[in-house]
Amino acid sequence: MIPKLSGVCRASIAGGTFVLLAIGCSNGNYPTSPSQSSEVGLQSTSADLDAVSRGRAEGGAIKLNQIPGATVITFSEFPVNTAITTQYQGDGIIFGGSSPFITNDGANPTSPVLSGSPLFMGSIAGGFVVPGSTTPATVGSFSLDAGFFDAVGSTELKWFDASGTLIGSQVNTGLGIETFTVTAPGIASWSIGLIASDPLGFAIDNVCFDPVCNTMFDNPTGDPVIDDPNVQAGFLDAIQKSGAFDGTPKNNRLEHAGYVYRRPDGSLYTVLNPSPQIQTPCEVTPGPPMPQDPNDEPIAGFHTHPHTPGSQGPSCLGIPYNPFRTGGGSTDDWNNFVEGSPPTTMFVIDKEYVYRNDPGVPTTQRRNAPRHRWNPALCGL
Amino acid sequence: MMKRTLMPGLWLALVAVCLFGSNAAAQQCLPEDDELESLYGFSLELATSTSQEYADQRAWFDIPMTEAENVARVFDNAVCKEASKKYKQQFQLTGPAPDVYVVQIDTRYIVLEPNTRRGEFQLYLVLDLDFNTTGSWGG
Repeated sequence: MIPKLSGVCRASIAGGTFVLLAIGCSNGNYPTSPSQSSEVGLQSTSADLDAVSRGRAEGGAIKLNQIPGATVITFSEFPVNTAITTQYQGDGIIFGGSSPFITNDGANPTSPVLSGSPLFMGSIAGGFVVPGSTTPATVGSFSLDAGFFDAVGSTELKWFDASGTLIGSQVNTGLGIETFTVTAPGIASWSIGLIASDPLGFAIDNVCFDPVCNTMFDNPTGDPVIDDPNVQAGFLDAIQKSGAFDGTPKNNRLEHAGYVYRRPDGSLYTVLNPSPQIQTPCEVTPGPPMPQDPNDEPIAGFHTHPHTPGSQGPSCLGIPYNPFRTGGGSTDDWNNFVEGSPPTTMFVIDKEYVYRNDPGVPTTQRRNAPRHRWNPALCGL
Repeated sequence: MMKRTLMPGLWLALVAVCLFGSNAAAQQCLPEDDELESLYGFSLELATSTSQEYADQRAWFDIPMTEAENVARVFDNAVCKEASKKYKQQFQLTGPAPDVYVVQIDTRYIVLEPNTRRGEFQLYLVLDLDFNTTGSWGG
């Protein structure tokens, strides 16, 4: 098991241990947990300056991290030549790709490293899971060191959301060891591989990621759709993409919409509408369903209200937001979507609740639509 | 024949109805329907529920907790006319003041014009009995 290092990543190198300045897995503006004040961050930075210098002096990689409790994998945990698949499942990641294994790398100061097969040429993939299970999960950021690069632009890191959709990619921009730091809501997996010639290939090390976000709720809701981890990952992705938790001013937050789909095998997944016709802080058009496969069935729509009940709404509303009179969905949601053609269940996600609006509910009973309070702190929001 | 013999006073009355009748109708209470029943049901719970969620909403919008008998649908056109004028002013609506649903909760009126939207949201106005705004929300 890899220890959860409270904000400090440590890596063993020949001749001793040095401290990687550790403030999480991201350099960006990804939200800190409620318990993490800026004062703490400043203190950590100051306290670790010497460690940074020490790390540099010894040639170690340096990472700037933000989230306490980040998991760091150095591949010193298992013997060299160990094939790596599910050994880190307990920490929230399963490795795959081209049969990755631990090996020594004389060009990497934090060797041993993880290489794909063939040595330094094969691709490597990682999928985040609920620790100790194979249940898919998402993180808000991760980083890894890759190299030793002998050619610029030879290797590409790609990251994907819970539905397998590519979120982004990055190629190496320099030679030697390069730290890739990725920040995005709802990262479910990643892969790294050669896209051009690099004479001696690459390996990875010091895989670092935020605490895995595996649920929105303190307890199961009893709703089979909401309790599905893929659906929760999709809902979390949507509310985060809406800007509800990253400091985005309320006037700049955007409602996001998508559908929940059921595959023939019964598994569920979500897809967000990538380009809604209308998208403001006060409304969004769901667009037509866009399943990954034509055999997949859209079973519900969902969209976000990226606001807190009772709080002043964005300027397009101009007054406080209160979803309770109509059970989460607005009257337009009910009349145009839920009772539209065909009648379709709609989930609404705001900053406090997930609401379920089902067809056939009389107007007079809409306010009693099921709603479940979710806990953003479970995901470090 | 009958038309020719219609009294001049009656003609004047008909003209007056044509000229002013529509404006008068535009400031009346909307009739009983599912929407009003829904607003009334919500208002009843809002006024009487001891749950924290409803207590929060009462605090947000300055609505008193009261007994069920103090919650009522309003069909007094004089009240709806004033509520409608205030609704139009508050939400900067153009055109004639609209017909509105009004539900009274003790010392407050909840006012809704069902076709007014900001984004996807309907707009609710809370007035005291002198038609001063004490709260509003979109939902």
